[in-house]
Amino acid sequence: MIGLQIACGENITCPSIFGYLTVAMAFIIFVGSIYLVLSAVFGIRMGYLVIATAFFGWMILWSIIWVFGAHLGIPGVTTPKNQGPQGAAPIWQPFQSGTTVTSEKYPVVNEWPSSAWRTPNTSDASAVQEVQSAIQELLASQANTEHHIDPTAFNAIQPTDFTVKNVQFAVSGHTSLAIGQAFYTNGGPTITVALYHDSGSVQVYSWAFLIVSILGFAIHIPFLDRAERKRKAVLTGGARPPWLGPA
Amino acid sequence: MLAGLLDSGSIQFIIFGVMVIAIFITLFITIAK
Repeated sequence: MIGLQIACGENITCPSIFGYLTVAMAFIIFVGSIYLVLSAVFGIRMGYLVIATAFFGWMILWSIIWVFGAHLGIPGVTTPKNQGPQGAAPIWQPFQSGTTVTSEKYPVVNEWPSSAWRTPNTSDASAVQEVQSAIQELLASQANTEHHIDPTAFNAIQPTDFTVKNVQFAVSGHTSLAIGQAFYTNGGPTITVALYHDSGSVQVYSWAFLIVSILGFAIHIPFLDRAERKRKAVLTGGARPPWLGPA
Repeated sequence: MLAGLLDSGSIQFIIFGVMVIAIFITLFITIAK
């Protein structure tokens, strides 16, 4: 069973198989119809080479926009990058929680609080918010597990039931770290949570599409070139067919 | 499980590639007839 995943109308979600079928049908109709016309003109083999070269060329343009975005130099008229298929989003991953935190991998965690940890400034506002919600979600899910509550049940403990304070940042090697303290709003101990920043792999599929498209293009071009030369020889070489009068 | 697998990016990337190749072969066979 494939879950309800994709938007397919106003306030309607459909199983993602609809998306897969849409892409496959679009490919058959839009690429197939042009291939049919091309094969009638060029023949089936050269028709394929023309449509495949065009397809990979188009995919190159498309994935360049995914990788780099499209910037026309006009203010406000721009396509941001990463609008295509995306890998894992960057997240703050909690790795330690308790009344105290220790870490062998990131020794700076043991020093907390110290001068190695800095309090966030105004430019960290979004990072602080991400850290706060990561801590809230972690504690809510831990609390629900501990009390055997279904997280979707009406009596589930919500992430917003936790208050996060004292978020601080540090760097260990190339990894950004954060520590925050949180408590259940209706009372309870203060829990300290340590997190590291996982920068994710958002761009990986944009690059994968670009590289595969360039490869596909490069593979087809020499064959198309050869097929075109051969065709030219057919068109320009040899003798003119005999004139048999008006048909 | 199938839903999770179909929605992970690497599988989608592979399915797209396989679809392109499969449809080109099908079109080639169909038009050649």
